[in-house]
Amino acid sequence: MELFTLNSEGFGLEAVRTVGLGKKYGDKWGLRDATFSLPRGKICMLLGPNGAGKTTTVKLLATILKPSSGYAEVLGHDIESEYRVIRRLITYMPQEASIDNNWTPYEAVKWYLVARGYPYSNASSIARDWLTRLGLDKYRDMCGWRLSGGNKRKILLAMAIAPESELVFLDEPTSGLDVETKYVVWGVLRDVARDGRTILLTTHDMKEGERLSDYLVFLSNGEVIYHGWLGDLLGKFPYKYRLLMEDRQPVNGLPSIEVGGNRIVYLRDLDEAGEFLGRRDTWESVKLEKTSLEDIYLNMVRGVEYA
Amino acid sequence: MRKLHRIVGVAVLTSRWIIRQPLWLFQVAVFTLGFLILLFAWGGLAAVINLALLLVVSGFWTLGLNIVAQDYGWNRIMKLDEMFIASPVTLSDYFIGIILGVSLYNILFIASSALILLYLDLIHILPLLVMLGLIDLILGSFIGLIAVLRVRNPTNISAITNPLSTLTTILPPVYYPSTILPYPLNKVACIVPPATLMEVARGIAGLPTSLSPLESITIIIGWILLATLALSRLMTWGRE
Repeated sequence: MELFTLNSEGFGLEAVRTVGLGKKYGDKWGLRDATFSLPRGKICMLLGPNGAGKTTTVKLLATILKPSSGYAEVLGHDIESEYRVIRRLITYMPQEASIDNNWTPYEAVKWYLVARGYPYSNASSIARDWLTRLGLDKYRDMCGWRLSGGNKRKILLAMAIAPESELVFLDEPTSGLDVETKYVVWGVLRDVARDGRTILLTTHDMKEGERLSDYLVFLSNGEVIYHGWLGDLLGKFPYKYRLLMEDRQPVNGLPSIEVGGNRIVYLRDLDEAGEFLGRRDTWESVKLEKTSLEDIYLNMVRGVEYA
Repeated sequence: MRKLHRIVGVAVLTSRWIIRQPLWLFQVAVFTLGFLILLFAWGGLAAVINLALLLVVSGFWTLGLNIVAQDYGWNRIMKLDEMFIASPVTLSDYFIGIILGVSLYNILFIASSALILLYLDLIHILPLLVMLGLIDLILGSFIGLIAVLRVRNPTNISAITNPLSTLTTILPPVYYPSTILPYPLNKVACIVPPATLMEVARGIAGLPTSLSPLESITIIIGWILLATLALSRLMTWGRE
């Protein structure tokens, strides 16, 4: 069954569709009643704090886990009855995975491609190409024990994106990577999406979500609290600036949230910010910033309060 | 053809640790030479023949029980099994791939055995020994995996499979003849797969045995059925 959805760029086949999807561990729900869909050929992100249900969602869709409730389709195939078909069309990079220290990057990518059914000669050239694109060519024949943790993550990433899978699941692929390497990885992922492949990536890094994603699914406590296009979400958020204050007390007449002993005050524009700061005796311990995805998430999960 | 690729891919990745750390293989060579001297010194020619048999039969069992199960467990710790699950690799591809990946050990076991058999003018029984070894390898892998799959914390896998391997090869009549045990203990002790298969091997090599061929075959078929049934209930390839 092929499903169509209306999105901001017109009609397109869905990469993923879930209805009431859930996974129970013992008597605790890791994911509950998740209903969302993801467009094809885009970078989609599952965002949320640790324990929000991101890994469980990806593992269910990658057919690593069996759902306890609900229904899901991946690339038009039922994850319950057509999981074998799905496995041919996807790749998955687990969150805490690491390559074997006895593998070289070239061996890891090449022989993983062969294990996925690629002929030897093709596998060799594809492996070389992706290792070069990820900046790993000079480490190509070094064993894992000589490589940094970041380079090992990049090898796993190369293993996940080198097969021409239609849908790539990446569970926190950039965790532990330095800033420069993150940019390299983001560039590569954009290239993958430009080739028409779909990426579903999990992260708790809201900045990464804002810089890289086209489509977002917010998760909190095992539940989907929002899914939609990043542009739509940013456009709808009414507050363009925020003041981060080392002060727990709410501010009269302005929406704010207390986080970790600090208070974030939300402002619609710079005029409102100027007016507020003009009323203060001191500007110490106050930081004015543009709002970001992090603020949208906090507003969704916590809700603003008014004094 | 694609199935072959899938198996070869898993096998090559599995084999890397042996190729990169050949001292493991050196350990097998030292074991063979050491036991050859030890058994000849204490037991004479029959003990040396027994060594040639157990190198293949018991060697393959240990490989299946210990190393195949540990390789699977290691992949679980490294989460690499999940990368194979979310791929066209099937459980049988993965399993056969791991067995082939560690088969460098098998080659060394066979080569060591072949040298002894050649010297004893018994080289013609090697193909039969290898067949028995393969049965032991499969049974050992199955039983190892059954144990491994019940372990919640995969870092404890070698703590389970190592003692199990020692228990099933040192205590039953694998290194020593079953005929030295009193009846009916000699028959009961041969119920463990490597001991049963060693009885068959001894029969082929012309050494005295406690089990008749029919008894040995019945026990082996029983083990195959039991292990296959247990594994098919326990082993899942994703979708847990």
